[in-house]
Amino acid sequence: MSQSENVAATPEAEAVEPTPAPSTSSTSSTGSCPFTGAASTADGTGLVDSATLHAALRRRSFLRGAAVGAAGAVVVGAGVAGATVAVADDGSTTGSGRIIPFHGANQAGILTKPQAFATFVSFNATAANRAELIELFKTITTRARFLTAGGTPADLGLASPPSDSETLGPEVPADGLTITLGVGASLFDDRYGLAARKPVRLSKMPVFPNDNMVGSQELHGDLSLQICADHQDTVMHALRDIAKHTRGLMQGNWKIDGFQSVPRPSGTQRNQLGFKDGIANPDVNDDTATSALIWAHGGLRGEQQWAAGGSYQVIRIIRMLVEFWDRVSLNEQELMIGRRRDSGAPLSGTAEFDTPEYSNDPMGNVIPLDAHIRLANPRTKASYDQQILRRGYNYDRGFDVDGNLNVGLAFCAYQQDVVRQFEAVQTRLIDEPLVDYISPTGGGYFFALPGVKNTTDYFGSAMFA
Amino acid sequence: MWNTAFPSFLIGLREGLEAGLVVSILVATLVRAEARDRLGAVWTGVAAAVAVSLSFAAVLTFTSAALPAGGQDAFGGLLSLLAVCFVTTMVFWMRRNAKSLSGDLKARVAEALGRGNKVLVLTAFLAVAREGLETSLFLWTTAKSAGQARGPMLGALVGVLLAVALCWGLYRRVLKINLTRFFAYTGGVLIVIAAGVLAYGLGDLQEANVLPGYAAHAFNLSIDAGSWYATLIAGTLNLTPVMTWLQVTGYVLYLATTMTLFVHGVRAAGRAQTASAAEISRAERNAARRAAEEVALAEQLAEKARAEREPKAAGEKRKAPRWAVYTSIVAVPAVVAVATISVMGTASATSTTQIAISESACGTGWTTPTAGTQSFNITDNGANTAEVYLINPTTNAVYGEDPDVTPGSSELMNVSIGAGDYVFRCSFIDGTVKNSATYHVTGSSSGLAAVVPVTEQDMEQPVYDYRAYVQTSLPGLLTATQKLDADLQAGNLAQAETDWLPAHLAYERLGAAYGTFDTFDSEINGSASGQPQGTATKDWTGFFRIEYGLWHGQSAAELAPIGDKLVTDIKGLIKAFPGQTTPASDLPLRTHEILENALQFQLTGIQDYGSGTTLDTLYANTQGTQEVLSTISSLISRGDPALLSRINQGLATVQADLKADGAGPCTTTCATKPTAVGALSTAQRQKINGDLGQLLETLSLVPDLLEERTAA
Repeated sequence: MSQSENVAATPEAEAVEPTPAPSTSSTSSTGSCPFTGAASTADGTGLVDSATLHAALRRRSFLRGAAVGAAGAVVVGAGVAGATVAVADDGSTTGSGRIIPFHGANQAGILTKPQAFATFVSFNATAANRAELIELFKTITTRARFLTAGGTPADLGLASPPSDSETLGPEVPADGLTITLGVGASLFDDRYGLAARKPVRLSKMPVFPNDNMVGSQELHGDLSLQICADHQDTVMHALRDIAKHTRGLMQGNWKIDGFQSVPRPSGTQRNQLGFKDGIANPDVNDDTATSALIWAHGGLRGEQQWAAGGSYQVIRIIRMLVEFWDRVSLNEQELMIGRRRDSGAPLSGTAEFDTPEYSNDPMGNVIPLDAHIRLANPRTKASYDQQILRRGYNYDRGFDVDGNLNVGLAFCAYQQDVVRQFEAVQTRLIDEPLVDYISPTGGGYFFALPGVKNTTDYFGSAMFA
Repeated sequence: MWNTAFPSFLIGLREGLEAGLVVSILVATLVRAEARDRLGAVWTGVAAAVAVSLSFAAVLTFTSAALPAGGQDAFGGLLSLLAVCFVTTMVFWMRRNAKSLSGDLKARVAEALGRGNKVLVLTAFLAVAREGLETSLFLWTTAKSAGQARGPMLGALVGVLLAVALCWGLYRRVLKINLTRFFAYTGGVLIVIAAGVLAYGLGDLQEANVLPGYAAHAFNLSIDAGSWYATLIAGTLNLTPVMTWLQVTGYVLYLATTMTLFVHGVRAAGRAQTASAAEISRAERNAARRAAEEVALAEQLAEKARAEREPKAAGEKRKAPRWAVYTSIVAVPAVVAVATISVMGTASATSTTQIAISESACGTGWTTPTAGTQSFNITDNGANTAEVYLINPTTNAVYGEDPDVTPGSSELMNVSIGAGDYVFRCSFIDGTVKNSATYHVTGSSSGLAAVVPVTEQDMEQPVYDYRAYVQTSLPGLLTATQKLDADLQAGNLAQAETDWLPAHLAYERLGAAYGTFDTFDSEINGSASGQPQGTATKDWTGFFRIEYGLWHGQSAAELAPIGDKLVTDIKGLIKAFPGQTTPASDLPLRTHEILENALQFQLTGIQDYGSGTTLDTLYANTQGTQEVLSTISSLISRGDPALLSRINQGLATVQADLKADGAGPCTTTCATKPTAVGALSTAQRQKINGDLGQLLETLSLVPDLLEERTAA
């Protein structure tokens, strides 16, 4: 209890001030994401005390001064993945310069190692007819193609307001941007003649027993955009650009912004319960696994042919009742999750990536039978193909009306079959002990479209064919 | 052009002479050694060196072009400093070694002959490449500072050709030059030039923010940079009317120290020469000895050459791979250039063209007019602030503009242009209007359409029309408001609710937005948002105040005075309007902004004070927009023929959405039960917002299209 209060009350100030924080160096060594103490305090909602802020600012200016000589080298090196940390830290004005290829059989932003920032946005199509809807998909394609590659925005001449908001400066940096487009079940109603084209497992997200969706303004949608990048302003710039170019064709419904936490001290990022989250994800570099678990295949169990290379996307806004959680004993927390809070190791093991031992523990003496990790992934032969690829982000929405922190997890998962995978897992999790501390308040099911294959292809070309 | 050619001419002459001397000594030695068949190796080395130098120039040009603007400045600045180092070293080195050069070389040739063609090629290559690379570097930085390449290139070419001729003359012994004196004089001039290059390079680095103090001007001479003397000084000495403290300090320090050292060195050498000249006999002895040595050396070389003819066959076998080596020497820099560019990534294809303007000469300096995206850095060397336009000389249509370039400062103008004729037009604040010469732009890139400038005169009729519309509409507004007021005075609140909407919409249809009608607008139609106590504010008046009262159960007694005040205010407006002015620029702005306001306040329901009629207000705003639009429709069509129909289509779509949702036009009687925004489904609201948003994207072009450009 007092531990966690200490963490909150003496934030990164001491760790950050005298020398570069240990967390920063570990960030650099793993090359994961450009998150610094300074950057994370910026997400605070007035909770950051001025000492922290000053410490962070001093550190930033110090680094900037020291980095002047090396600036050239940084810019050149920024093309290499992993250099994002250095660029973010020195206050570079050009973004990370990291380009994640837009074209391919699958969309980027699914297997892509999560960038530091994300937004998940639901849209409703307001296109008047099928032709306009196709125009919408083509426009999103064109914008995403440009934004993810970066470059100089179009010059529209004197007779127009400028084409770009210039929130990222005159040159738009690629900055590790990915834009992932999904379609919701409602798009396949009678408006656009797509009823026969609906991915077979796609439905409106059902209400699960522990959900709090009544009156939610953040459910479902015709379309979803997952926008991720190395910096938050790049995410917002992309959203703004796409919205400007698709005015009259789609209209925003709801949106949840998220940030990744740096590994503390190492390994998988922690969620706002303080536990490492996403340790047991399928290996995205294993083609066999991604083919079996993530990508849809045309004809497989009746799947639409056009859907090949797409993936079912589940987005859930899961609020975490952190005040309550912080009043729970460490032992109880760990038993609920099934892992050690400090290392992330399963209670049956010693290291983060140890496989939890269930066969020797049939009664749940070490890892309780209703522990979150045990229910979610029992590691049986039967549960192998129920695994999902989680790509969640922490969110912070200030306070609720009563002054409690409104924070949680913008849960995002990808899978080949939302029924076989997410729904099976979520059904097992019904009434798990953890449900008292979390509150799912919104989200939806979407189908992330197959990738845009080349410069002449566009999102959903096979779906409309 | 001729002024920028001079420094390059001098460099070309000197470097050419240095390299040429080495080559002619090599050739002479070989000829005397009866090894004419090995001259090919010398020429191979020379050719390779020339190729490498040209290739190096290409690397510089492409690398620089590939860099973003700030990077270009930094790159150019660093190279300028490097060039200064080279030139300085060269000047001093030559002075020290000119005399011993010949002897050194002969020794090297002897060695070269002993080791075969490879060394001979290398000797020639190194001698020429050294000077060639220096020339390239210096030439490139001069061309960059001059903002054009033709002058420096021509100057250097003439210089090199002259050098070759001089060398040939020296070789043939038809010419005699006191090389020591030649190198001393040209060296002195080169130091002055190098000081200018240093100042220029420092300026570049400051502009790129590598060095501080870009804004710290040491002086800012308000002289015309386009004048002949300014051009002469800028071209030859690299001094400009505006210089920073760092530039001036660097210039003075370099010039003072280097020149002192140089002059001191020359005097010392001169004294030594005078001394030796006094002892002519000694000089003659030396000459005789040198001649004897040369003969001996030649014999020695001939001997070696003869001895080497035997393994010649083997040498020839290796000839092809050697050529491959030379080719790769030439190719490597080009490959490096390509690699550099690809590593640097996002390269802007545009480089900045320096354009000078003044009251006497507008828009000089565009030396290579080509189609595509152009970036002009326009510097005002005059005494007045200027509007600068890039226009089509036939139609006066505007491609680019910089609305205020102030004296001594520079502004960027970026334009995308296709092939055709272009003219810069400078309109100075003192009334001076000057055009540049016509630039003939070639190239295949297509450009953006130009904007036909709208003048004050063009806007006279629209303003008249709009004012006439308001004049004829105001009496109707008064009548409707008097009806509402009568209801309030009579205490008939139910009737007042019915009569409120027609009166309010009559005002909304006027197309008022953003402070039109002076303070009358806030009296007649002010919202509670800006009031100190919100809806409870005592002196809040107008339509919204009455709406709030009517739909929040306030008494007739409370509302009656506000009704009277509203009538008074509208009468006041009717009286005042003929004396108010309507700025011409208001109309294009209002065409766009009335509906921006509507989206912000009506579609959100923010300005719903209880009647639930904001959709009707929104409809009235579309009508107001149409009225304003009708006054400028011909100007819009003139500027962009397709735009008007897109606007009309968008307006029709939004009006259809509103009608479908139960709102619509109503003048004297309105629907008894209006649809409040809050009663619409999310899908309905999104549809209206999407269509209205799309319409606003289209309408947002109007103010830019019809911006008044009387001076253009």
